[in-house]
Amino acid sequence: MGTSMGRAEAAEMVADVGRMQRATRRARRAIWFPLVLFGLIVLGAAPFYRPWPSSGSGLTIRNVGPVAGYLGGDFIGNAPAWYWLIALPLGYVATAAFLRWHAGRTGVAGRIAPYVAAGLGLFAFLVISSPSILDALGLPTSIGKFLWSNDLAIRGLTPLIAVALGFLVLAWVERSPALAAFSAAFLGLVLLANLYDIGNYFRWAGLSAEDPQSGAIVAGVALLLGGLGFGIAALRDR
Amino acid sequence: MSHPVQHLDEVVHQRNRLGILVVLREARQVEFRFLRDTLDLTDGNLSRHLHVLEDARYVAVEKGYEGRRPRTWVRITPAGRRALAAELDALRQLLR
Repeated sequence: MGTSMGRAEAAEMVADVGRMQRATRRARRAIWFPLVLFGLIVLGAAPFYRPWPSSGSGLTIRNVGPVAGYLGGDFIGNAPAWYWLIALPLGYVATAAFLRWHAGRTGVAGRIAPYVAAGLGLFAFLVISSPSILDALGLPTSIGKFLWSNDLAIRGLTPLIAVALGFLVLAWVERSPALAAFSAAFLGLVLLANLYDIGNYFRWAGLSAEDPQSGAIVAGVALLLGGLGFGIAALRDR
Repeated sequence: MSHPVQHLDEVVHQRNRLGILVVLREARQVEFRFLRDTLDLTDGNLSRHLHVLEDARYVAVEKGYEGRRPRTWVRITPAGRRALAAELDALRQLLR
């Protein structure tokens, strides 16, 4: 081979590689969009969550309707379940459409399929593992209880876990440590919202302590703030 | 032990072609004009480099239309990824 090269030239080429990587990632990323969109979707779910029915010792599982289960329908009616069934798939479709448009505008198309597939797959898993669906399929509902402990599913906010895990996949696809850190923190927040009356921490903001609606509001605002942060960072990078 | 320079691939070891592969590795596919602007090349120059890479089966080029606008999308192939990784390894070895 007739190639000859010195250390200085090699160092220059490696520096060029880093510069081009950064330029391409800047053009490719539009992380703010799904964060803002899902922030609005999660906030949009809040009105469908109503305060816990208080009846002496606590709650009675109603298991209403065909889509209840882990989509928020066990205790508080079917409205959140129907909302999630429509809004979450639409959210992923809208994200894919936006990123396709963004790729056409910038000339750089990222890998969006793993994020959309993971988000929809996790959501489908939630739906299928709901007791009502298992029952309708003639499968023992204990499978769902094995997969999702009652403590985790009791507030009907489990779709937020699917959203958070989807963002972790997006962070991996985008090779974004910042989004990975945000998604991990968001996952922690939504696990807390599922396991605990998170409104207790936000009484100062006028949220109800014992209302699953508070969990949806806190998670939605967190996503909107995250989207705002990533949007500002992207503008500064240009 | 052989000198790292011996591991350099003539096709990839050219500043602009290396740049093309680096940009392509960062995305599923990249449009011709983004490559041209990022690498600061002319249309003709970029086309020549893409031909060399395509002949080596390191990239795949797809031409089409979006509305009335002609679009050329380029993506890196698995062989291109391997060649790029080997080139970057050799460059880093040179810096050690």
